[in-house]
Amino acid sequence: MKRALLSLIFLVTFLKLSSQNTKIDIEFNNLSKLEAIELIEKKTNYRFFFIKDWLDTEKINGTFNNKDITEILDHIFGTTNINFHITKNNQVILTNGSLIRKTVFEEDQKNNYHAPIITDEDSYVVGKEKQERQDFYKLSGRIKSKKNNQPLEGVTIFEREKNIFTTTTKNGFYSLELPYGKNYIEVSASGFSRDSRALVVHSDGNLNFSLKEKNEELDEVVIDAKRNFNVKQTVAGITQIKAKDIKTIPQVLGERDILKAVVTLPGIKSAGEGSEGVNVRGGKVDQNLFLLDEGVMYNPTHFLGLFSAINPFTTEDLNVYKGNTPAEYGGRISSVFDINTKDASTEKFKGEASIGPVTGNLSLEVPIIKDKSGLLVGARSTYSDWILNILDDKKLANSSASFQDAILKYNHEFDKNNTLKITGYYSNDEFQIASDSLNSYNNTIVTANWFHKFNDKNKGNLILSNSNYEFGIDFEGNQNRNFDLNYNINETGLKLKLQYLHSKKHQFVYGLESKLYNVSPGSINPKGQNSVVTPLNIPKEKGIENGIFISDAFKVNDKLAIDLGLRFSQYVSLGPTSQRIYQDNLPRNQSSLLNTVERDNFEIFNTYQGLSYRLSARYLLNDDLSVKAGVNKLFQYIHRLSNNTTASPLDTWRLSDHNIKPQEGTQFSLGVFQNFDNSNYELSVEGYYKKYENLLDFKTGANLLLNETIETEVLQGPGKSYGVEFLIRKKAGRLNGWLGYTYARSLIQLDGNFNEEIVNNGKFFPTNYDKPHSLDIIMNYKLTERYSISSNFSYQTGRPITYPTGKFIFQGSEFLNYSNRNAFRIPDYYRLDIGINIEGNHKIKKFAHSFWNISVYNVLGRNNPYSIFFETVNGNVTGFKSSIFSTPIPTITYNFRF
Amino acid sequence: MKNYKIQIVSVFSFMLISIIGCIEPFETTNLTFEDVLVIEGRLTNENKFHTIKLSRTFQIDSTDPSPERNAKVSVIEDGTIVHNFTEQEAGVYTTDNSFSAKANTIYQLKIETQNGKTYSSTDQNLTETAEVEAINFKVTKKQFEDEDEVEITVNSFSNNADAKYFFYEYEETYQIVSRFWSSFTLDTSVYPPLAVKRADPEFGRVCYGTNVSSEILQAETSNLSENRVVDFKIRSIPPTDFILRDRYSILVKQYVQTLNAYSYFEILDKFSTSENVFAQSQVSFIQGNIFSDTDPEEKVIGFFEVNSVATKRLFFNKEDVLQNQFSDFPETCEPRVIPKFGNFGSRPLEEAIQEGYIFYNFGDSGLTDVDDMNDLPFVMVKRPCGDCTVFGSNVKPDFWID
Repeated sequence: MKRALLSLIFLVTFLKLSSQNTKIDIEFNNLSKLEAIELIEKKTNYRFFFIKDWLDTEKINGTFNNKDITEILDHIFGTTNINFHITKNNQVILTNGSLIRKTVFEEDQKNNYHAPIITDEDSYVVGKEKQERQDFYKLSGRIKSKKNNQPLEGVTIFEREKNIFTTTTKNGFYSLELPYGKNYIEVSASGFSRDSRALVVHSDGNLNFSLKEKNEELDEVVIDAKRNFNVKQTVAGITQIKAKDIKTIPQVLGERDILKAVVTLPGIKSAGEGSEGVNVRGGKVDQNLFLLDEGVMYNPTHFLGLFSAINPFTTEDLNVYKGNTPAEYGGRISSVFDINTKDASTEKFKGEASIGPVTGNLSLEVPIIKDKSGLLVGARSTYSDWILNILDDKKLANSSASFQDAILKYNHEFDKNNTLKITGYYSNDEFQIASDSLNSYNNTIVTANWFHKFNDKNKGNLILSNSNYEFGIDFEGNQNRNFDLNYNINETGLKLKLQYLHSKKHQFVYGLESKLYNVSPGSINPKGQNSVVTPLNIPKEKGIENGIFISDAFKVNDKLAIDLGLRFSQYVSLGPTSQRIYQDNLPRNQSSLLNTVERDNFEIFNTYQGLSYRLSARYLLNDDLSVKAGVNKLFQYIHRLSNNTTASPLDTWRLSDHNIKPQEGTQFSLGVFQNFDNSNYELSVEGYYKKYENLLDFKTGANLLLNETIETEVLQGPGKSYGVEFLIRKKAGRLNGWLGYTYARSLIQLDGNFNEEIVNNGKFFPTNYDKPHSLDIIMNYKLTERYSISSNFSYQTGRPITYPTGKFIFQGSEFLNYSNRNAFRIPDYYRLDIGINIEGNHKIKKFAHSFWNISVYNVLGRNNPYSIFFETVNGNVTGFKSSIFSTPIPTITYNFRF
Repeated sequence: MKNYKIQIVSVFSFMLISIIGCIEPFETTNLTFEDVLVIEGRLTNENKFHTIKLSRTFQIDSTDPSPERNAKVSVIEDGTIVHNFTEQEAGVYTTDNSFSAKANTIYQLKIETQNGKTYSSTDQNLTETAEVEAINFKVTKKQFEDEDEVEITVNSFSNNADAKYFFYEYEETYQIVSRFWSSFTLDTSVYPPLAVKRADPEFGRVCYGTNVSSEILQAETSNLSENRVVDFKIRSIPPTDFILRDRYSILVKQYVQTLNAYSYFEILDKFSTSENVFAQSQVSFIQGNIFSDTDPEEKVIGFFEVNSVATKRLFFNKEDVLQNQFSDFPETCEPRVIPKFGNFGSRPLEEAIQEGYIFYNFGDSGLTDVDDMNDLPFVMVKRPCGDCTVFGSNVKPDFWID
């Protein structure tokens, strides 16, 4: 049909639009439309071109004497969506809704300009096209459950791009004002699978949905981006992952992990198995803002980075902004990971559970007040330390590791205009690996988000959040120096975000945000009576980060859209503190310390401010092809201090002050986005260049924990990263998945006036996470409705490393002299995982719906080096390589939902 | 290969899963080599001939250190007095006069290598003093393992506020008594050989072996309320080690360091031992306090220190620490009766001597005359069983107290 339509359009381009004067006598006596057309063809020399499916069965009656053909056709098709066009050769071309124009880009001066609508077979046509148009038409209908045909209340119907939405009434009815032309409607209700429909709105119309219950659904689409959304969205570099969609990706130790899924996408990398955090487009690990329901998550991983601390069962989706960060976010210069928790069902008690070799996971949705409020509870825990206990290495057998996380979310809809959501989150890790010290760390997050709709054009959110991250080391050796060490960071944030839907052309988001940071950078206290450890408290740090932002999604015309965002960002350092002032032009140390100024509580002693801009533009070359560009600048006032080559949970976060400058990042990006085969394939190529100022690094061998004068160890320098990302994705069909390839570099320069401040002679050198080539292929093949096979292949260039360039004898032992920093690389990383997913049977009456996952991680048994290090053993230097998972690891997990 | 092997039995599937977090040796190839001057040495407040060692870095896959020869080495005291060093053996330079470093005096190391390059250290002062209060020994369980170990610990104390950083060296001397010693030795100028009385009647019976520490041993009291080092473990010895068989002595030297020197050695040590599998320290070249006078970018390894030193010695016998345990002798010793002539004209005794056997006794013959006994087959033992000079010196050190 698509072909037919295109050829029609082609045909029309050289036909004249003139009416015929032949008069006709005809009589219809209870004829179907097809029969009526056949009758006209029989009696006249008009010939009709159409598709039979367009015609309904409504009977035609009427007598026409000496009438024009148009009058007769108006009578026949007047109440339907069919438009007709008569050529001078007496050909009658019927179209389903569309008006026929001379060219695709014909303009109609009499009416408001509307781009011609190029439909394809998936689009549902509402009404028929008329010469005179309104801006908006009313779409109404009824939404029912497919299972029992009951009307559904509270179903959301929305046109995401245009921000138009409504919900169904008690009897399942809805009506929605939609602009003329193409719209993309999504229908969602919790417990039901999402439905979506591309619409062409020509006039008022009716559209009914019947929704499938989620339990009946089988996922075949692994990552669900909205059709054509990737092409049309103004901002580039956004990735959305839905938690439910990642279950077919093979997993390590059976843990479904949204962060592990994210790192298979271009531009997002992790340092390796067992390392914390991700590096986004060549940025440092601390430059990513992890938000769980708007609360900051300082450590989103468990067990030294092997598992993510985000419960997959309670997570709705994750949006990653790696290109252009919306103006409403600030404080980190590389990316935003916006994690949204599910809303609990307000109708039905539901649950989901899984059993894997490492953890058990349970989540429940409990309606509190029917149709108004619900409570989501999720909890996850390791069974015990039994894995480590059965190790045959004595060192590790005496080790222990365990983790837990729990989430609670309450959502309450007071009325249509007021909704309150409260989220509480806690995660905890404890581990003791071959040492006397018990390490532990935990995150606590509480957020409250009040949504209020002022009117159809104005709405807003008021968000209050508190986030706490702390870690401790509990040391018990045999000597006189047992201690307790603690670190804590706490932030309280208030954010007001308002949206103003000014017009079709302008949509504004504006607001302000303020955050109070309280950092206890470390304290150590003696433990036990024999301990002679002196208690030490590094003085607390306090600061306020303010932001005021406005952005306008400006649709210049149908092709060009611009997103303009500005954020004025300010950071003030607050007392109480002892402000240390050092002599300029000297390395900071005890001898260059000029004086120490005591500051009172809440006394402002230092301020940084700057204008952060976020600009992006999209130009549609055609419906399936667009070019996007962006430039943005961001500031970061909080820094994670680490002098390990990879991040660890015991890294401390510290605040900027007069001695430690904020980090700045500027990114330029350009991308081309193309969809083809009816949007089943998405193809994108994006390039970026990022500049950094004041990246943090440290003097060689610096001690960062419990350091009272951390500024004497800090080095700050510029950095740059650049790269090209290529992604091709097949979204549907028996075989689906994606292939991503990235070429990227990340460099830093540490140059100073003094020997101790210079690294690699002051030249740019690769960062620890610089990995030029990376390739990821994720594939999922559906054998039957119940069985599917998935695979994940990953390749990365080995990360940079500092190798020894010689050795020497000192004190009777051999020691190493090292090369310039990061002059070498560890061997390349590659890994293949394979998984088989088996859905339980689909009997509707069944109590629970089950799902098995059998997966083998690292099928090739590749011994990927995680690190290379050198040790002096018995006076001789030996090189070692360590790897975390060096053999294939099969696992089985069992999930069920009820 | 050292494997950290983890085995998991999946509770519901009877499936065996193995995760191997693995550490294995790694062959280094294609590493570029940097030739750097290495300076090792310190002055102390002991009145003695002080020594500075100069060498150059060498290839990773090589075992030969390359001494830096023919350099001019001197230490300048308070900018005026010059203490010259003379090369005594390859790369080892010793002061021409004996002297002790004095408090409140500035010392600077100056080196001119044979290629004409000159190097200077920053100015150094003698550090504050601290005394070694006690050296203790005890048997404890080895950390994370079931085995015992003999642990030797140091306690020290200082009233000086600045004596907070300590560097330790030890020199252990152990007495070793031959298990199958004989006052006779063989005269092999004839065959069959004759057993004759030793010229030195005690030769090879009791010997003294010596080891010096080769690790970086450091302690600090910077975050303690007093400058007291308690039970700092300086040495651990497996109970089965033969050095504990008879009598053992350890001399502990405690140097008081500056913070900078302490940090230098601490980082050096940190960069040569791995902390844990998951986090790797960022390594790189470590700058000491010695610089090239002409090229500030030239790397120089080493830290010139002027330390106050305190020493203490400890003796103990095996019975003092281990009652029910036997220390291994480093050789299996079974006396063998070896005939002088065998079948078909073979000479088993000659072969045994060539293999390293020495004379032990004449067997339980009841004879008293040596000439008669020389006609009997000899009882022989491997050399280490009857001659302790294999393990150490036959000369009793001056400090030794029995």
